[in-house]
Amino acid sequence: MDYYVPYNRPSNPAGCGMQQFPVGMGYVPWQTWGQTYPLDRAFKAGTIFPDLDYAFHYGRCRS
Amino acid sequence: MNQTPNNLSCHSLLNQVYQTGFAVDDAILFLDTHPSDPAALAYYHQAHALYNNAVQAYEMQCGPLFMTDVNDRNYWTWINDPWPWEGGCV
Repeated sequence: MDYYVPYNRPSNPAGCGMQQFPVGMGYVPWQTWGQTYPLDRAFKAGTIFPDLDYAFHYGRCRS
Repeated sequence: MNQTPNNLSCHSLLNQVYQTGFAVDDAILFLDTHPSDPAALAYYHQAHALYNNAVQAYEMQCGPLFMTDVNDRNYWTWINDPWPWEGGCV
């Protein structure tokens, strides 16, 4: 099976248009350039991209 | 580590180097996968210029930041800062 890489695909909302991708493979929506943080905030957040600035919720799996 | 006024501004000047350098690194990561993105390229060049200015500003006041940036022809100024074991880590 060819190694399918959705190169140059516009990032579409999660789940939308994902049907044509084979099952069993992980997919990451394609990032597009957007707003960036001011330098000091970016340095603290660890990213210049607000899109990638996720809160870190640690904890055990809740069964 | 004594915080003389001059030393303190070296700390903030170095912080500028860190912040601008970080922005350059993050832009590079994006450009690796989006090599023709105009906005990303513009951001990279802007951040890179800010980084160069920050390094220059730091070095003018606080001495060489990299071993390859020693300009003094009479003395190896790289050793002027306190060594790490002398509390030199900023």
